[in-house]
Amino acid sequence: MVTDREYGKVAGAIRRAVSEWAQAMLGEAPDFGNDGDRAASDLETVVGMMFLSGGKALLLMVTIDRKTLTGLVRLMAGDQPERPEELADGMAEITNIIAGSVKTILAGSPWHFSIAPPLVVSGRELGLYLHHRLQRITVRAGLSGGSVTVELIAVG
Amino acid sequence: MHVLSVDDSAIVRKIIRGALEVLQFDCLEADSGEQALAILAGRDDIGLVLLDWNMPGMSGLEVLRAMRADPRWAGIPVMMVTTEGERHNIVRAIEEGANNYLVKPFVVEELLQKISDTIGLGDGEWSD
Ligand SMILES: [Mg+2]
Repeated sequence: MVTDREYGKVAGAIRRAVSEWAQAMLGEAPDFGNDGDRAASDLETVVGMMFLSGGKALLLMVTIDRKTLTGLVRLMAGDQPERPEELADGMAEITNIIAGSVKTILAGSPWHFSIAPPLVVSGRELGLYLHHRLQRITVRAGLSGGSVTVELIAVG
Repeated sequence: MHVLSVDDSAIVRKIIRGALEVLQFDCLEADSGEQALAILAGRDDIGLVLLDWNMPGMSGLEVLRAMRADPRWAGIPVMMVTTEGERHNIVRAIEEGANNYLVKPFVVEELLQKISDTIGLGDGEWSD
């Protein structure tokens, strides 16, 4: 089981990773007001996923609605993403950067991991169904008028 | 002089291309380690390689080793640009022959500064 202390430490690492990315590459400080479960959304959603292997088997998921993601990719790249692949590529790199920073912050802890190539899934009304015994750490960050949800799920 | 930017992410290559334009360098791009070595093999005007670490297929560290083992490329300055920010990885890359190291996420000014620093570490041809 994830103790409260462990949860706090890992969630803190995720918040710091999101802040570092947002401040360096978007010039914006995220707002961490509300860490609840992802809100059901009928907007098209883009999810960056990465399997992480280490002391635990983890799945990292970064979820952003398409409109917010378009704005974030524009801030990072300097111009509007034109093609769906550009948006997916931006999502993949956001996932990569957040995962890499969390990895560095958690070095030396039982949650330390190696990263892998990111995968991107997109669609409308995406649902996530987890067995109730699987442990999930969720951080939501307000950015550019939308929100970025980062979930770390212990899958083994 | 050309700068070879190697990263599997198109958005990172685009950010780097923009920075190189500011510095008035010509930019070549590779989206894999294998492609980077193929480009290096075909030209002799590459004065700097910016190298991602984690890429599908050949990793940046493997590209770095291949470069340092080949007399044609052993002297070309290499800067790692990567999310691998742990101290032991930075030390490892430097030991394997990287001249500089930039951890993602970076601000563009930092990228520009480190590119200039890295070229200054070369044989002096571009450092004035
Ligand atoms: Mg990469």
